[in-house]
Amino acid sequence: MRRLLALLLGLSVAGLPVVVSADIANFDLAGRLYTKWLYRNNDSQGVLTYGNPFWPDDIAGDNGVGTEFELKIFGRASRYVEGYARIQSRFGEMWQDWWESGERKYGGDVNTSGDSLGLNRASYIKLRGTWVRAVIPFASWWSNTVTIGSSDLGMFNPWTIGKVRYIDRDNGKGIFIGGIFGDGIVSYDLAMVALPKLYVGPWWSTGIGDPSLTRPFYSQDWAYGAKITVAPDWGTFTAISTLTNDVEIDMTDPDAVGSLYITCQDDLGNPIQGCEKDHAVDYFSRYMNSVTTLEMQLDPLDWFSANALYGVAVGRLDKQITANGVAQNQGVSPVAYKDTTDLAIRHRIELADPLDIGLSFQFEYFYIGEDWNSIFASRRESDVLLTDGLVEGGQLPTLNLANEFIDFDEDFVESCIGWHGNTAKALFAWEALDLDVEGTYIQYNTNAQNRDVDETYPDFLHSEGYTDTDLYDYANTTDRGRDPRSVYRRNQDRETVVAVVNIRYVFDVLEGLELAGKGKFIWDRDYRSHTSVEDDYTGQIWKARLKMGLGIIDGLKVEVGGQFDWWDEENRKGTLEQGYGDDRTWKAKAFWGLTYNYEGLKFRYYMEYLHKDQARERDVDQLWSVFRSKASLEVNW
Amino acid sequence: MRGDVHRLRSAAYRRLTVWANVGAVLAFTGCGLEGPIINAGTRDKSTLLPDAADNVVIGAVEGAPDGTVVKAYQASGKPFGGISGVVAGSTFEVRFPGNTLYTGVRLEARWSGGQALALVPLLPRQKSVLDPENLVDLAQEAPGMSPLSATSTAFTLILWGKVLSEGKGAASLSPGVIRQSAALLTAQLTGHNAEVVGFVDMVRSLLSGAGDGGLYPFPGLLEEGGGVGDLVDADFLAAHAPGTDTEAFEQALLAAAAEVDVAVCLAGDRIRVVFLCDMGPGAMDGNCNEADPFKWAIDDPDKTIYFTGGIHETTPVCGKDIQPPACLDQATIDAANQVLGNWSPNMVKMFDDGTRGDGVKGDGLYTLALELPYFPPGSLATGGRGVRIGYKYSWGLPADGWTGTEEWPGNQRLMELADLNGDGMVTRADVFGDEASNKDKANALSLGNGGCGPNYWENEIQAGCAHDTRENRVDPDGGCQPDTWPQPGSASPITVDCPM
Repeated sequence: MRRLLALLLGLSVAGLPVVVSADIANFDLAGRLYTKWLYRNNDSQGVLTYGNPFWPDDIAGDNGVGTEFELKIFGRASRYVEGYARIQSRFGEMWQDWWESGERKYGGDVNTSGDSLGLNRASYIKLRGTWVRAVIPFASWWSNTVTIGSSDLGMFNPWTIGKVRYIDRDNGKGIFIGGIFGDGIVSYDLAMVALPKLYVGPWWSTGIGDPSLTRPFYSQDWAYGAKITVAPDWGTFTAISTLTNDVEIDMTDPDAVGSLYITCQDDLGNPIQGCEKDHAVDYFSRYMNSVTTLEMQLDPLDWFSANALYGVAVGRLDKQITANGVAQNQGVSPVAYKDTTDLAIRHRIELADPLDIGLSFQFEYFYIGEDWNSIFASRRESDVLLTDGLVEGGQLPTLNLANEFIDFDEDFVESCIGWHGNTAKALFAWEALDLDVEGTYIQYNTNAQNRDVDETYPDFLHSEGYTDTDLYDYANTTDRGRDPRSVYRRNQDRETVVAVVNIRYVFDVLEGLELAGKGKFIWDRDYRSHTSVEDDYTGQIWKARLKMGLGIIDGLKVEVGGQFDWWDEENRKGTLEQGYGDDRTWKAKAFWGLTYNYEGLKFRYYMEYLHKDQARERDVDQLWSVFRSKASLEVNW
Repeated sequence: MRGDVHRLRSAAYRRLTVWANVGAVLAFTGCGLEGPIINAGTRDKSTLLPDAADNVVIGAVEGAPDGTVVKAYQASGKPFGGISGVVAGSTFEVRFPGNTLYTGVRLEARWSGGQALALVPLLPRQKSVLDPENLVDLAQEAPGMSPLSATSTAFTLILWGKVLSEGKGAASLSPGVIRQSAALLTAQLTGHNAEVVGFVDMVRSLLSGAGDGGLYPFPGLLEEGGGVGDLVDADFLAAHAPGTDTEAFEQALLAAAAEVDVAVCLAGDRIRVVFLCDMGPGAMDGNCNEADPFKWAIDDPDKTIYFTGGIHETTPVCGKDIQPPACLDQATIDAANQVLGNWSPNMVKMFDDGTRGDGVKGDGLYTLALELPYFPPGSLATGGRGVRIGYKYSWGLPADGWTGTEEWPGNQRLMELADLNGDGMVTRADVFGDEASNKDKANALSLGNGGCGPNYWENEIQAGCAHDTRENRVDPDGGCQPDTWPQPGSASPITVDCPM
């Protein structure tokens, strides 16, 4: 008995700490609190400048403050298997909402009860993303990682399946296999991704909302991707091929609910040959988009590198089960209403300080066919071209851009479908000075006369005028210029020159005084219809920005600056029938802000005053006088 | 050394096995690959087929200017919604859906200074959806009815008046009768038959004043219960033909009609059964309250009304105790069950598009016209039972299930086939979701309206209890008193050639 007690005591003393420490070691938690303030001298309420342009959301607005909480949980089941889950509160509740419960008891009526605004305004906690990851070392020279669950889809490239925007970072789910041969010379990725019901397809959906479908079927819609990379010492070769496949029910199948032929009889009641109920329902592809790229990166010398990317994009659309979004949705559609096939080419050469004087050069040739479209490409937060472009947020080879769910201080992206041209950049770095100069010439594969924008090519309704991304509105009630997705016009004969200079110098004052300037000039000529010279467009867009940032103490930095825009646009807007008008736009922006990092706390404040004066020949002039600010406080632990 | 190699190979083999199994599981259990593979291997051969091409009636109108509208009326009297033609160069064409058989369609053209009627004997249903448009030349189909003129108008009125005088509806005119009668009247006209010539002259005389003061001699639409005298407008006669009154017109018409024999022979063992289901707003239930169609069913803009049912178990079945004709044999019951949908929900579609027996497109009154086996109830051998049907409506998508689509769970509607109004058809008018009409068990007919709970067949009537199991009257005036037989859409009785 004494031996037994001693054994139990020994086991409890020896075993307990081992078990406890093993549990703790297998867990890892990461938390984050994020608060955002928005202010603008207008009367809209919410905590997001640009919400969803289609679905009415209840969080967008210019005045509000809201907080979100995020908790990431990492777990290790064994040496080879890990798990992850992220739970996060819904963003959108304003501090003034106080006690909102998530109920919506009164329909759409907002009242002072705690039960009228719904879940978006109740900061409910939701499971946002999960994955399970297993490492399977097949051999010493070959290992695989299988991830099942969430991914930001960053393993491919912006041309094919693009990395999803930050707010969607855990929404993409699928099965992902990554493998490496040898010392990493050969690697590969395979992915099967559940297509989002919302945006990957005609009508920005995989069927839901398409007027031609009575019973959209989206639970078997997948994208498939394969990537192989071969990376010897002197370069990298990457081949990526992706396919998105939106399937719908075969409505001629008598087994399908909603079938046209449930009794296998035609309009006259006659039996249909080949039609038989077998209690198995067939599918058809409503829309398929396959994009393949081959990219070669060659680094033969320390100062010389070359990159070539070749791509082919194929779109296949079944018109019987896809309504015409061009004809029926005012030309607002993420796909052309036809089968498409086209190519993209990008050549890039970089000379990194070849003369050893701090002077580098970059050259790029780009060609993106008029029918190129990549439906699952990056929608924002990415850039495929070297140029600064017409807007500053980047150029992406898709009509499926997402200039939404962003605030006024975030950049817009634009579609570069049809772009064909060259960019040359010179970059000079000398001590604390950075200087770069860019020149880009663009002509357009989308130049055409009498293009069918009624039935085939989407023109996004508003195609004229330089885009004002400072004061954008989706419905274009304020004459904000061209939609960044509007690459097709009925008549276009256009060429564009972009010239940019950036300069930055850091003075050794306190924690560093940074002076930065940017100048940009865009010359944009579009002869439009060849039947008349009265519609010829010439835009001269001048932009100049100067900014000063000063680090006062460690972690605290202030900035102040200003920007001036002068847009001189002849025949900016109008029609062939009623004529065009010359418009002039003058904008001035003054801004200031500070950032403060303290022991894991990150605070940022930014405020700007924007004055815009738009003189329009054919319409009344417009004036904007806008104060707006954004602040954020973030703590991670 | 050999042992190390063996261990390495074993380890590699185990990993390969694990990896192959993981791959196989991933590939075939939800990663999106199995669907396309299985779908490709099991695809049916169903194909999308076109709808049947139209039947196109072509003809001419005597004296009508270009632009004159040619209206079409169903044999039952109602105008076709959305079906008409326009005279151009004295000819016209009127398009009818090719998926529906029409008989006795009446055409009418009106213009300032004229009016003309004609009957189209038959517009057959197309044989194949791949067939081209079927051109029906009225001059060949019924020579006496083309061109539309005073003569065709007189012939139309004679036939119309003839069946009215015999207490039948115009829908009972079979195509053969129309063709033969038109040919006979043409022969009598050319043979100077006094009655026919006299009536044609009277019509021609009346037509000379057509359009004056906005009045026309002959009504396009005959009111419910109208007789021969109502085939002429009394106001027109008073204004333009003071020497002629309705009695004189009726007398002349019937005298001419006596020269033709309009025999109507109905099929004895089959009957046209028309189900009308009202889904329109404001439809009233059996208690004269507004019906709630979505008490059980769930609405959806893509849904439509379906019918399903079967021969009721109390229908007499031919056997040793009961002999034909007052019974149905098993094969006939099986075939009828198939026609009725055999209690599979959302398979037999009803129509509100003006085709397949539906009267007016988009009026919220859905129609299903069927041909069902029939014998008149009342036989002593069967205890008075006739052919009985249990049925129910559903509001669903094609091939949908019961949940969220049926009028109500559990119970069924009852109907015994009996032609109570003598029109050669059985027409049952229901309101979707009406639990106070012919619902069998938990019937919601109020006590004040005679409701006792269950609904009883005619031979099981309980004293003091209302019952509703046969073709029924409707209440178009909203007086809470069903007093009018419903129009059976564009459906016609099943007629056969009369025995010689």
